[in-house]
Order: sequence, then C-alpha cells, then structure tokens
Amino acid sequence: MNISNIINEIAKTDPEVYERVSGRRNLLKSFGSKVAVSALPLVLGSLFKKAYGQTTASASLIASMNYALQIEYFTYNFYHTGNNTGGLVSAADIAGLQAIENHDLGHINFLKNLITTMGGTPYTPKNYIGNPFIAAGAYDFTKSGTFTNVFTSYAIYLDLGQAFKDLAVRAYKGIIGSNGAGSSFIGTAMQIHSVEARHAAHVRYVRRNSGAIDNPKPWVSENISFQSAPLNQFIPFYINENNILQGTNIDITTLPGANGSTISHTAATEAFDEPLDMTTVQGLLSPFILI
Amino acid sequence: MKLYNTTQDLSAIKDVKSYDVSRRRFLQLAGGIAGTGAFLTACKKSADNRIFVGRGDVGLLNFLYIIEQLKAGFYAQANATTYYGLTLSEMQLLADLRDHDLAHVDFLALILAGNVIPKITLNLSPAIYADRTSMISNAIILEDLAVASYNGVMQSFSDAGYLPTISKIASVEARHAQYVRDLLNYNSFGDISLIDANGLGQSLSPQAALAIAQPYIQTQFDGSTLPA
Repeated sequence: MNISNIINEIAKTDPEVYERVSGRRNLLKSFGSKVAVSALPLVLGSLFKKAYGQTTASASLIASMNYALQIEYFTYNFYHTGNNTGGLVSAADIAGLQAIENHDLGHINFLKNLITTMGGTPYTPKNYIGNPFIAAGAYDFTKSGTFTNVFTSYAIYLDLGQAFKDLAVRAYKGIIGSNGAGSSFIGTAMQIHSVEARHAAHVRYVRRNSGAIDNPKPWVSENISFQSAPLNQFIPFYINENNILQGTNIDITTLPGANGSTISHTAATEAFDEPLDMTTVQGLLSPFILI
Repeated sequence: MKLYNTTQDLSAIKDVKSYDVSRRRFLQLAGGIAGTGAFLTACKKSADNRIFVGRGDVGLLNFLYIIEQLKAGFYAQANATTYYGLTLSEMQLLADLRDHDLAHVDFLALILAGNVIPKITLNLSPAIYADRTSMISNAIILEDLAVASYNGVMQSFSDAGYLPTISKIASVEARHAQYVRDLLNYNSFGDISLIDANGLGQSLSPQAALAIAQPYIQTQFDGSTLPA
C-alpha cells in the first residue's frame, strides 16, 4: 500500500488534488513509505480533511453533489437525444450543441468519481441502462404529451434547451450559496457553473439568431419567459430573475449608468442572475422525469 | 490553482499589443470622447506607491473590483468608438456589456464601503476599437479572464454571506464570455482551451489573474495578500 498510489488515483479524478494538499506534499515525502499501514487511515483522513474540507464528505455535501449529478444526467440526456435525432439540429449549430453534450458528459464522469472518492454513492437515474449514461427510459421530455414535438420541431427543442440550461445555472448557484465558506467543492461547482452559464447563453444566442419571437439576449432580462401556451409553463423557471435588491439590500436600479444616466431596470436585472433552491428546481424538473 | 493556458493567454496579449503601431489612430479616436478621459489619465504612481488591495475578503472583493473596472472601462471605450460594420443587435448587446459591468463596479464599491480602493487607471491601448476583430479579441481575453477570476476567488471567501451574491455576478460574466466568443467565432463559446475534459471551466488564482490583467492597467497593485 502506497500513499502516492492513492493520491495518483485521486488525481485521475481530481487533477487539483496536488494543489489542494500542496502544503502537505513535503509531509508526504517525509513519511515516504515508512508510514505504518495501520496509521494510513488517520494520515489520509487528516490530509483530505484539509484538502476537501471534510474527512469523508458530510451527507449534505454528498447530497449537493448528487443533486448536481441529477441535473447533469438530465441535460446530458436531453442534448444527447437531440444531437442524435436526424434532421433536428441545423448543420451550422451542431458543433455547439455537441460541445454542450460533451461538457455535460464530462460533468457526469467528474461528479460520479468525486462522489465515490468522497465516500458517497453516486445518483443514477431511474431506468438507467448504463449504456454510457443514456437513460432513455428515465425521462419524458414531452412532459406527458405537452411538448410532443420537442424532438421534431427545432424551435421547440431550443426553447426547452434554453429553459433547462438557465435552470441548471440557477441550481448551481443554489449549491454554491448553500454549502458554507471554504469548502473546496465551491471552486469545482463554480467551474461547472460557469460552463453551464456559457451553455445557457449560447442556446439563447442560437435562438436570437434564428428569429425567436422573444428575441432573447444571452443574458436573462427581467423574468421574461416564453409567453404563448404551452411554453408559458416555463414561467416558473424564471421566477424572481427580476430581483433588484442585491447584497445588503442594495437597489441595483439606482446604480449609475453610462454617460451620467441611471442604469435601466432591464440592464440591472440582467447584471445579476438568481439562484433557485433544490426543492424548487427538482419540483420543476419532476414532470419531465419518469418514476 | 489551475493555470490553464496562462502562457497562451499572455502571448495573445502580446500579439494584440503589437497593434501599438496604430496607437496614434486609437488616440485620435479616443481623444474627442468625453467621459472616458478619466481612464486615460496618466498614472504617476511609483512602484512603492502601489495600491494595497487589502486582506481577506476585502482583498478578494477589491480584486474583483479591479477586474470589473477594467471591463467597464474597456466597454465604455468600445461603445464610444464602435467598430465599423456594427449591427443593430451588436449595438444593443455591446451597450449591455458596458452597463452590466458598470453596475458590477458600483455594486462592489458599495459592498466594500470604506474598504474600497481608489478608482484605477487603465491602459486601453491594447485594442483598436474601430477594428471589429481587435476589439472583440480583446473582449474575449477580458471576459475569459473575468470568468476564471470568479471561479478561482470563490473558495477563498471566509464570509459565506458573499457566496450567493458573487455567484450571481459570476454567471453573467460567463454569459458575456459566450457572447463575445460566439460573436467572433460561432460555436467557440466553450473552446477546448477553456474547458477541460471534465467539463470544468478555467480557474485562476487572484494573483495569476491580476498578472494577466496588468497589461490593461496602469495602476500598480500590491496584491501580495491575495491567494497565489
């Protein structure tokens, strides 16, 4: 048994492990292979408590990671299905939408390994068939027949794709804000969160360029969702995105704008994205998940 | 912290700096623009007159304040002297970029209250604002830098109360980065140079990020208290 091997294994999952334990590398060197096997759990426990903020992750942190994993499976399966539906995605857009699918696949792999490393059990979707992360029997993206054309109408597909990604951004923000200061998962969650935001902005931009009636910007204006039925069912996905009280109740609509003006109400709401808590997010997604 | 492609990013900055042959043209363009003068004021601070960013959470917030001032100043210039061939859509969104970042600047100053550092002096010459490619290329560098800065700074806050607030700004920076990237090169919003095989976005320590920002800033900082 060799500490280096254990660290190397973790490094395959988390390349930052050496940086996380950086102050302790010399400690490891000095121990070398002389650490008694019986003392290893203690040494490693202390090492990772420092590196990851806990010995084995707390149940709530594991739950946060599994919640993130649940969202990643959901969006991955959505984009994977779309990208593999012939004639759905325009040729100009396929590279971008495949990048989204691939990033989400990376997130699944990363989170699965991290959760396992931290002593947890990774979430798996219902009806999961283990054919790299495809769970065709796990989701109903038509929402019980409400969106029967989700994989035949490119416009509807992009509408749902935007709503799901904007929601993922809100979900990660909820995770980041609720796990306390100093947990190293904050850094990782931020890195994933930034990629989810790039995805959401990209899908909005694709819709803007395709002449979508709401002419979305890459950022979320006010709490604007889709207006016509049945797409107006996504209005709750954007609840409170028009919040104007930030930080210590600072009214951001009073902030100075360009050229001596005051910032517009819309621009102020665009400048701050809003979180959503786990219960709300899971409630919004549940009609799309088979049980 | 990860330092993905720092060398590449720095060389990119050097490349755009070589546009300095057109500095005269830039100055001509910028010269008549009221309101941006403050950013162009020569900075006479000597090395031992560096601005100390502060300790702990104050230092982290002042670091973000520097990054946001840089972007707000950059977009103020980009909006004042727009590039040739600007579309209506681009004009709208370019103004949004400026307005969002201005809001972030003033918001961070209010959060910092008495601990806020003085306004900084920028060096806006790396970009040629009338040239679409030059302006957007520089915007990409600054937006990717901002995203990596927010990603890297968050785990160092000791007051958890900042986490929700700062994460609200962070994702808007990522949306900005997508836009300027796709604007220059469609579908490049998640370029492989920025996002690793695990799908994790680039992360920079505050000190590393400040070093990348420095070519755009005349003010010198004492950031020794920031995470390296």
